[in-house]
Amino acid sequence: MLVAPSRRAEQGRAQGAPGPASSTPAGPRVGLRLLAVCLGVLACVAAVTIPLGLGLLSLLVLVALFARVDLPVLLKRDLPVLPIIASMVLVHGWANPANTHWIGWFGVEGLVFGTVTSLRLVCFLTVANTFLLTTPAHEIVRWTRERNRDLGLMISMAFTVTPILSEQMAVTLQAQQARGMATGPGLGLKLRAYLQVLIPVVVKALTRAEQMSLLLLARGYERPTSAGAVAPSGVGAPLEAHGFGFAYRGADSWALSDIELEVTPGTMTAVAGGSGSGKSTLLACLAGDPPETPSGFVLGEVSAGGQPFGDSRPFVSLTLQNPGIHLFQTALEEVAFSFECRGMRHEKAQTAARVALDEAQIGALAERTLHTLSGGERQRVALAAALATAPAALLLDEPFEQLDAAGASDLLAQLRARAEAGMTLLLATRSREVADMCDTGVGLAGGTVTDVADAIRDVEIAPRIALVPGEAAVVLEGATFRYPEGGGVTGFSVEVRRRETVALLGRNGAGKSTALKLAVGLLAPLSGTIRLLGDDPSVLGPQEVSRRAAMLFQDPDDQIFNARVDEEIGWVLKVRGVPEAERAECVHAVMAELGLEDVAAVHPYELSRSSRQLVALASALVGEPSVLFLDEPTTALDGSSVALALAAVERRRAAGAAIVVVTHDPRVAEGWADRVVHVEAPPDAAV
Amino acid sequence: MNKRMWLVLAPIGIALNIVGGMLNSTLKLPLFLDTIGTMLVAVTCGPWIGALTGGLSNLIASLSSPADMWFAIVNILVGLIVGYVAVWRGYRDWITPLIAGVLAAIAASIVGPWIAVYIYGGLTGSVLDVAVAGLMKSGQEVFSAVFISRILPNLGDKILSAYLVFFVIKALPKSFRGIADKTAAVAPPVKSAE
Repeated sequence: MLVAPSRRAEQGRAQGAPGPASSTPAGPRVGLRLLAVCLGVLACVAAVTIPLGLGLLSLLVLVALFARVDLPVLLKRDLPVLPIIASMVLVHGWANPANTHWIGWFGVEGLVFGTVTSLRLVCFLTVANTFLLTTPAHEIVRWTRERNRDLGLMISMAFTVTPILSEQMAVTLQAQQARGMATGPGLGLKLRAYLQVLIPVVVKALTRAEQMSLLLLARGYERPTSAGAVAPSGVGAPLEAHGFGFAYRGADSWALSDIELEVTPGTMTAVAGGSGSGKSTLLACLAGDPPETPSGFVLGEVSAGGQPFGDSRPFVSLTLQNPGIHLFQTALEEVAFSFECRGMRHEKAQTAARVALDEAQIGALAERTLHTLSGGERQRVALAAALATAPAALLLDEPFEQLDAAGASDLLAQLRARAEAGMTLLLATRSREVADMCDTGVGLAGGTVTDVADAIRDVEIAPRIALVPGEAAVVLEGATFRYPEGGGVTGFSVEVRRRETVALLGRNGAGKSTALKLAVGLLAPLSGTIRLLGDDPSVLGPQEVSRRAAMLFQDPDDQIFNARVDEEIGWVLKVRGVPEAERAECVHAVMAELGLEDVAAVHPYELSRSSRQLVALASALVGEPSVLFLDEPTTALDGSSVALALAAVERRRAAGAAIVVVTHDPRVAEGWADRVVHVEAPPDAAV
Repeated sequence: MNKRMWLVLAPIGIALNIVGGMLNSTLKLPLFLDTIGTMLVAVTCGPWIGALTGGLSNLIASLSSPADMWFAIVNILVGLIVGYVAVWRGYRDWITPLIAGVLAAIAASIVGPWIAVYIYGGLTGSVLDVAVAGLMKSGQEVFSAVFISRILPNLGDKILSAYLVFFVIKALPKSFRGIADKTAAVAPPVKSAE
């Protein structure tokens, strides 16, 4: 079984994601002058022997940069390729067709040609490495941004998204392995596996691109920064929508229809609705995504301060539902960019960003890499960046979802203060509690305005069935696993029996998901014993593990890659070689159970996230596994879907399955599980 | 396509080039598959954004491996060729990836050797050097040796990459297909009568 080595996808950094390094250039060391002289001589030789003056150029750049080079480091960078370059001399000496004079196996002409070429390469590499050592990547990015804003921005964003997508690839690889994906040995199987991992990664990447584009809009990139175009901080602008409708390009129906909405300055207004009701689309339209956008078609009008789309309307900012979407690597850069979009120069913007982060009481996070922060911390950074643009109105998409009680209380106080200062605030939420906290609210269902009460349904969980637990299905005894960058589990033990539901609880980074991955053999423990239905999962192989156990990952988009819902659900059975008729019967049954029959032929990514989570659950249930591992199964689900999902899982338990669930949801932990097991974070865990 | 969108799609394409190459190594495929992002951006957003993605990919890679810088020209050409083929034919039929892959491979096999010969003397430190040396020993000129040794691996890699992108496009929801789907709706859906 292929095992992705790290949750942070270490390979990503090693292979090609040279993030802007923050190392400072060091001066030359005493005692290494001799080496310096040698390099200088080498460059002189190159200058004389190499055409087009490349060698001379090498010499000039070396001389210019010499005083700042850390020579041992330079040598270390050059060393790995020097043997290859040196061997070129011999290869040319042996193989060059121009050889006429021979010394043993080697022709003189080839040796000369190889020597000249190798010298040229050494010079080039030395110059390039000297430049890179004396100029950290973040300096190159900054220099580029000062000369070409778009180009610099693209390079910065490439540094930001590369480690994120690398990590995503590792997660998707694990998700597909947990479903029994075969990875070889033939080329055909490998290519199929490549696609099964690549497709979810690409879909997530493109979704991320759309959201990042929206963030650029929300930051005011490309927007004129003259004072007239931007309302002063604290002065609100009314938001209005009249007869407004929006349809995504290629969609069969309107995402928003006949929207009538008026949001007055100085108030907090809620837009309440379930997943897929159109809340995020409405917020994007109100933020000012122009009507000529290729993403869709618009009817009616939205306006801010009485102005429709365009540069002259007051500035409306936005925070996204997923705070994991950001443009830059660090919190400081993220907030500073907002100031730069308002016309500030880089240094001043950085200073202003530090002040803004301190005011938001997250100054300590300034230099931290955003994608390693918790959801709550990223939410606070996103809010600081949104407020830094001095918006007349602020739109917040599920702002409390990632926050704990204290964080939510702080945020509410902040928002209240902004509203009292006159800012227009509009919050999208699927929580009745959040809607109740706002001054006023409207409901959204199926893309049309309705009452809040109709838009949000309460969760009703069916009472549990009392069952006598059977034999042990999952056993972890003293399981220990450490990630290279810290975190994991230490000496974790749990036993889960058939007909039993056990909830794993713990803080972020405590190792709950790691425990699940150990139990299905996606990770191999450093020590301890793991048994899945009596056998060590790491020696069973992915196909056999997927027959015994199914794992639902936290995000359904980590695994979906088929173009139809029914194909996606039936894929697990197809891998096992189940005949088509039998497969169709099983798929139909599980779709009926989860209310998915009507969307059987629909593309999964055209469904709401809640429905996609049901699709992912259906693909876990369809194989009727003896053990079900569920990682946060309810976070993406609407109220009605929670009851549906839990009832389906409960039926499997009654039929003899063991259920292990990782959750933050008290409805699940307290109301549904037989036992709760607390997972403690190891001392070095990044929380 | 608005400017904000291509500003973010190019970095996403760059990251996908790197991730595609990593996945290739993880699954131990005997290919490169490091132009997946360039091709994907080219067939969804057009040739010039594809070319930008390809060029920037190599420039960024050269920050850790300076020798990669020169091959940016090849990656730019791949973006342009695949993008123009997608503009010409869309990217939804089985023949188009073959055309795009073959053209990209030919371009890479012609331009790559010029770079390899001028900058590296024909040898780049890869396993292909064995074939290059053998061909040179048999009397081929350096350029011919490099061209002959590269054309087959390039054809295999670029055609497979083009087909992998084709399957990815097929699996994408309509809203993400961009210019690859010439049949995409150009009119809004009809509103049902209330």
